[in-house]
Amino acid sequence: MMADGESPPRQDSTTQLPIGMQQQVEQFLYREAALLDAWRLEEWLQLFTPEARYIVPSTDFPEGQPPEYPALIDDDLTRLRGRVTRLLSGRAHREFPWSRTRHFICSVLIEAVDGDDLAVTAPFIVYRFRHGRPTQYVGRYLYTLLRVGDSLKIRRKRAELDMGGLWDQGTVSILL
Amino acid sequence: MNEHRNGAASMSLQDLVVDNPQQGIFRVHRSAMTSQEVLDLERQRIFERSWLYVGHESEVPGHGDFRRREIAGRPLILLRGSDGTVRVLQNSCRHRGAMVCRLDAGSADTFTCFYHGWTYDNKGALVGVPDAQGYPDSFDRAELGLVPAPRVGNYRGFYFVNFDAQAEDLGAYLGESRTFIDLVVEQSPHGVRLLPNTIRYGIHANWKLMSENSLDSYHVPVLHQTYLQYMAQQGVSVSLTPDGSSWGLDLGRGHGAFSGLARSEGFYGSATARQSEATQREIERIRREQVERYGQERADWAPGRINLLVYPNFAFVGKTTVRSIWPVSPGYTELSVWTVVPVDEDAQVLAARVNDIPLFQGPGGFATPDDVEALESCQAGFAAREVAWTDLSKGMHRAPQSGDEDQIRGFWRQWHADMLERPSWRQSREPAVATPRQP
Repeated sequence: MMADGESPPRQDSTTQLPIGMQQQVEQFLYREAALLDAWRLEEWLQLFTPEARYIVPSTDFPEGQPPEYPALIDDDLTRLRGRVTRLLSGRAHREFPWSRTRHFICSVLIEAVDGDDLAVTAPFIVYRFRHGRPTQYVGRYLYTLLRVGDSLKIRRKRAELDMGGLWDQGTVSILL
Repeated sequence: MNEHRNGAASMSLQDLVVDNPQQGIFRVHRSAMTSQEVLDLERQRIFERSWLYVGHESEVPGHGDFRRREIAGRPLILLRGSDGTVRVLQNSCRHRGAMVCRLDAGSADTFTCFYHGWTYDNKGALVGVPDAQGYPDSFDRAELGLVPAPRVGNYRGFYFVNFDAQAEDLGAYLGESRTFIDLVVEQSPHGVRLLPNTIRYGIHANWKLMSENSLDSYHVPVLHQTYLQYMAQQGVSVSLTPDGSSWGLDLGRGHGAFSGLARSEGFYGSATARQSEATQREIERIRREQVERYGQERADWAPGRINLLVYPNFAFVGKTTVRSIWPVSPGYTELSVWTVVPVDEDAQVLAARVNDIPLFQGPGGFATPDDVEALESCQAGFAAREVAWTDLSKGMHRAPQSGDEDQIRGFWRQWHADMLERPSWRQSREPAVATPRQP
């Protein structure tokens, strides 16, 4: 298993990935995005392994690692479950009523394969519309996915933001 | 100008705050949060005359280290020179005005303007001018260094500037708030440092709502119910019951503080911190050192949760973060937040602490997003212009408690006095409840 913040060896561009792996990873990420946009958050939680982490670093040092660079969000599965409970409760006031969101993912890149661990990156745009007013989150995902039989699980999801500050957004009240 | 217009209504500045302790009435006219003319006057009469936080000495630890800051609309450089002295300089070339420092943070021996190449050393002196013989004899390099902020002050490593050269000293200005800054610094016997990143976000609400919010614990059990429930599920009771450790303090000069949570809680209420024996041992060790150094009573305050507002726009939140609050327009405010940690903290405790802070605080926390939503909702509600007044009378009839609004009234009284240019109000008041004694 890889330590937090550590990357597996980079995939040599000449190495052939197993047939179907790219499509499997893309389909997995698209389904994850669809669950988030549908606010099917309990199902979304099922995608994570028990030791999973969900991290959104601070906007001025997106590559920074805690504790020297505190994150905006640094959840283990217990806290992530609490976050979902809160969002579904109707009393996470920034998300009452829920925003409409649309997660866009492109250029999905399998950076490395290490045993059953896949290091995957992908740029994203997440649109959030609340009372008809738009804001956007732009950045890139860094995933560590775990192959479990024929399916995938999320061991680590890190959403690094490019905006430098949350001047218009104010918060990260939705799940990226 | 002592009048401003709010839509059809015209209010005099005098009438913006109604303060009647005998009848228990304290109201603020909501145009104070929506009027551009009020903001223009605030800039002249408050931000041009108050001590404003710039940064902490730990952000520029080495010779040549610098941080860029924008304070009251000025581009500034917080800089430690090769002589070890921390300076605050205006980031504008003496030649034609371009910014000579174009990185947010770094370390440099010199700053060369990229336009014509004038070069300054890290003490601010002009040391290089291309084609120097092109200037007449009257050209005096010695007078053309980077311009320092008119007044610079430092209290226990926290640097402030004042753009009023006649302003009283920082120490007198901070007054009673110093006791609480001491408590933040003394959470470790070795002092505190700021971590390098800045959490930056905007709020579509008036800046004063954020200053008020930093002094408000009345809202916590209501607005932050989901946070309290999550903590309870983790086996941590965050009590807000007035039990003697709950108080709100109007510290005079617009400064205020409150402690709403039991002393034993604070950031150490982290479930993570409590579950680890190593962390528990480290907390006990820090505690023993504090008792030895500062005595039992003062050490009791050390882990407690305290919020402090240094008037007008600088807040310590729970001793774990500091925030600066800057008006951009009447309905839009920008915040910069830094994380405060003890110097030389055990790695495991530091990791637990830094993991715990964003659970409550910050744009991704379980609480701050709800504060942002509440403030923006208030600002949107101010559009109901016929609902002209905000009520801040809670606790006017009793000794102030944490959930009362005494400390918020203190902020507004200073604000009103400043707007009316009544300098006599800038005097320390006796706090209504005993504060921790100096060691």
